[in-house]
Amino acid sequence: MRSLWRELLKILFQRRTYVGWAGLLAVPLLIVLALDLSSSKPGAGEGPPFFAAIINNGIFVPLAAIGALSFFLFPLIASMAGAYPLAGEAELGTMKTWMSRPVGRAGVLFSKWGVAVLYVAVGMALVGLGGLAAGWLVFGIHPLTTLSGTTIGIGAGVERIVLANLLILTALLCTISLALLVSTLSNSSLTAAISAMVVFVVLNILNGFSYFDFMKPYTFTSYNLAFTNLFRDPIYWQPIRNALLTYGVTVAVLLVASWLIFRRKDILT
Amino acid sequence: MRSLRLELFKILHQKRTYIGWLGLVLVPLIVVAAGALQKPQPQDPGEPPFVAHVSANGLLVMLSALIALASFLLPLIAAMGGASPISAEAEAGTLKTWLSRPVSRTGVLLTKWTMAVAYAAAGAALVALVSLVAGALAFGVHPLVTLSGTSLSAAHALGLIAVAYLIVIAGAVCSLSLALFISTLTDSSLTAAIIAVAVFTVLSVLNAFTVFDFMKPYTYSAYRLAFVNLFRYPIYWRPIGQALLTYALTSGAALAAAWLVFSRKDIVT
Repeated sequence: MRSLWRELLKILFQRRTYVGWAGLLAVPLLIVLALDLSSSKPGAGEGPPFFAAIINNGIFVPLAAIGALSFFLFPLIASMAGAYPLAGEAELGTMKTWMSRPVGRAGVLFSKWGVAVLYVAVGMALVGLGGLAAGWLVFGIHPLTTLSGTTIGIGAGVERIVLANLLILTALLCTISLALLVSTLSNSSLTAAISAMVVFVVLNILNGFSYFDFMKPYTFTSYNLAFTNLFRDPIYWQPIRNALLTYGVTVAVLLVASWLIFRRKDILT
Repeated sequence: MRSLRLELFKILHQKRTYIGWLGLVLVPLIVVAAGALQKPQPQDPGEPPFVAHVSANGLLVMLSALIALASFLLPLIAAMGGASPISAEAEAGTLKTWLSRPVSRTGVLLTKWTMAVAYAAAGAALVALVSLVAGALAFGVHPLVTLSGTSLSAAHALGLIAVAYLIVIAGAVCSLSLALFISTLTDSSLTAAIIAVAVFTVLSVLNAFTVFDFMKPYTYSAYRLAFVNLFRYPIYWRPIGQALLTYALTSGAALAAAWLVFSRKDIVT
């Protein structure tokens, strides 16, 4: 716990932290602003999922925002968060000092992973709360209509939105862990973050071609929109379970690999 | 000239250089593999031009790869290229040594910018080369049917495709210059790269809303697909001219700001 706390302090003293959060928060606010000012309202089925429903019900703002963010900006922030904790210390030359003290390397690795997850989760909560607040102010909040046409109360709706956020957070754990793995192999945080993003984008492009559909079940990038199934009535759990299984396996493999490398790594700086 | 060569050496000795190029080159290979293995399908109305007919003509691989790269991967790689030269030296603690010698800061800045542009351009050139070779091997090279329905000889089409690549590179230079500017403000290469990519992404989100159409002419992210107009008959030069003007102004402003900051910066590491 103590090392997690210390990691938290470190990221709270970096400008980058706030730039990332501000960039994320800007998206739901811009969506609300744009839809409020716009004279031509989007038709059903236009834009990201739930997007067109916003003008009738502000509760959809956080959903449209996370749907839109999960394609690029969330993974970008996640790879930054995952890449920096280890490689950033190597860059500053503080890793060596730290490792010369009696700390377990596994503890160091996992507290750094934990703080990266925390960082992304806070960003996500900002998007959700900011979006909900802005949507409430501008469009009002009403019981929400599910994709199956039934209506669920505001409380149950918020509950499902929280679930959707958690599902996307699990997806981002894959990107975080990937960036962490590369950062155990490289001493440059930039290299680690960009490598994770390159993998993410290339997998996305692969997912875009139907010939490569056979690998879809195994790639964490293909479940971007699995969260929409939470908004059917009853909830369609099958794709969500598949997504969670893929995320779990991906994260576990990446974390074990990072641990195996970091455990034996020569710390030069 | 000598300092350019030095910069080139530095770039060629970094892992991330090759990771970036590798990611770029994978895209045309995926396009070719999917096109060769997949049965031809009717074109989606939402799909960008050229992609659906890729297996009919090897030259279309070059264009499809360009379309795929222009929206994500190339700006990402360009931002990395622009962010690292200055701040990676600050991280490694070599900037101070270097600037203590009789070199001009303007020269240092411009060399680093030039080399970063060369890096991004080399990545795009690699993509062009790989997609031409792979496309020609898999599908052959045939006269290209323009969007207006006329036909261009293969040589003429190749010339136009080269121009299209140059336009997209000019667009990527905006992200690159922006990253260079931010890297003069921070000592972390990761921060600089992520902010540049985040700016690009948020601008792209803005471009998607009609309310913000008034700012479209001034945002470099709005012209991603301007090069498509080269493939009309007659060529529709207006959007291309506007794109190049916007690119020049954005890059110029970012570079001037970078120079203003860097020429007075306290070099601490």
